[in-house]
Amino acid sequence: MVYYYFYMAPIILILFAIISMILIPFMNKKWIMGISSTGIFISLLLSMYVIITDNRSFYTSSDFFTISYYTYLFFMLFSFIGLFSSLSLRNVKERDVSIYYILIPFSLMAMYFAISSNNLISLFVSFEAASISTYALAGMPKEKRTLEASIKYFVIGALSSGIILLGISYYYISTDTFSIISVNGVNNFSLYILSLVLLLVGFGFKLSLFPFHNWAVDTYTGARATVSSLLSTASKIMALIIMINIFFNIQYMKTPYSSHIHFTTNGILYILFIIISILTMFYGNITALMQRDVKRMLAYSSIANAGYMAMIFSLLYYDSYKTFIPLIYLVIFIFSLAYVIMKGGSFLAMENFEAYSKSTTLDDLSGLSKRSPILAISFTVLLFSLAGIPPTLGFMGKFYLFYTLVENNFWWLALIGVINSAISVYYYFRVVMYMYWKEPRVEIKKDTLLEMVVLLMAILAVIIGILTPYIYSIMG
Amino acid sequence: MIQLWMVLFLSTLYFSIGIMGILVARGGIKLLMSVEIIINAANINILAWALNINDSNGIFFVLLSIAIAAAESVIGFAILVSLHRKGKGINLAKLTDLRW
Repeated sequence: MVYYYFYMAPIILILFAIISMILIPFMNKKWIMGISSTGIFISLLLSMYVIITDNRSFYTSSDFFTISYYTYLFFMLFSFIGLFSSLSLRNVKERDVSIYYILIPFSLMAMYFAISSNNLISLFVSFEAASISTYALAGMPKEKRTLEASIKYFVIGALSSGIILLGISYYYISTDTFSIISVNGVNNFSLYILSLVLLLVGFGFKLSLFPFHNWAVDTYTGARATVSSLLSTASKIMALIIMINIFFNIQYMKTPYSSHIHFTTNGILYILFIIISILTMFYGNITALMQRDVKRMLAYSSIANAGYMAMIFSLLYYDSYKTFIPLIYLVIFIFSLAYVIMKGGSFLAMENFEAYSKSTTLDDLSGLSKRSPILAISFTVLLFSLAGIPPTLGFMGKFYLFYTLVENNFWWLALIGVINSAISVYYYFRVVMYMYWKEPRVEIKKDTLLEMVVLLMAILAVIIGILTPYIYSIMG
Repeated sequence: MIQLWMVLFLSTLYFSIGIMGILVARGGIKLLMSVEIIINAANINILAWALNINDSNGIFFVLLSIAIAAAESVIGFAILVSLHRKGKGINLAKLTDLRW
């Protein structure tokens, strides 16, 4: 039993940190910051230990949760970005401190439970816990801008949770159970298909796929940059992992309406996913070309990245889709590791401008190399990584994703991905050009800690990028 | 005797009313009410089916989802109150700072 408790340690530790922060009264700012950051840091180290010992046999399952090696793989990413976004919060008012530093670990814990759920009950509850805490985080320094971002996020989030709940109810009616992994049979096919489509739409809102993306841009732009670094990475990856858990684990079967070989439930879903991912990529990249605000550009590029992520669902085409699960987890892990480091790092770089000049247009960034060379070079590396220039991590993430698609006969989808990647180079390089070849227009105070965080992200993007083939070979 | 299609019809009606409310309403409070209606539409479905097949999981889940809906509207009201304190009221059509 001791064995199991040890593997549960990361999450129990975060739980203790949250409870102690809530229950112990009259804690001052430093104590709350210390407990929260230390709790997240130690659970990051422990989950890294679980991964490095590579204990694939560790696997425990109940009616509600399946906790395994892969859960910790993604929880490590969440706590990584949670740690750095809580470290780089600057100018926090005394009265807001407890809200930030309790809500961040709370949302991380909820995300952990959401990605480990194998039952729609526990999945919905933990998904909502993660969403609700991020609604509050998005509106956090209570200004007009952030509150507007927060209310838009809240309305769309509440709508999406209603849609998810309706999908769950149809799933329950058609299969008599809430479980994802053990379905005994389907008694109503049309309701079953409808429920899967509703679940796709509901989680698609969270992942900001194309027709459901509108909230994302306003929220990432309006919310504080550190909060958007958490929202655009951790909460998005959570939605992606939930969708993988659902759509690659449930049973698909032929519909009674047609005898055609691909008129099955997964046949319908994979076409939907391919159409949505192509539209998302093109929409995100083409709209990002027109932005003058760098933070808004990053928000649009995160929509485009959601499109790349959704491409993996084309593997639902094969009847043996369940055999792909370890490969999909591995590929998505490398892609989202790259995504967390480069997108989180770029939003954290924006925090410097947010805190001292209140705007993040290209003019604010012009001539950054003369004012602050370290921030300029590290932001440049992160942008190169986002554009997918080798040998950075962003290239590796895209490479393994496209390689998996090509290997499984989806070369045309991979080609569309490469074209989109080429479009995106333009708007990333425009920022680099402004930073290096334009004269500075506004004076901005330097923040050494933030610079160091962004520099660390840039170094990680290069080093892990070089080591990725090694990581892939030992994990695959 | 209440049939399944009756329950589905009722919940679909509720769901459409809620979606219509979200699309049309501009006041913040109406919006929160519409969200509650959408969540209740799904709750009716789950509860009816749970009673139909005698499954306690469904009833348990409806209780949880009511609690979640309450938590959600608490956060919604909190955001609306802070928005109201910043001036301009809670008419969502007037929130146009963030536009491209």
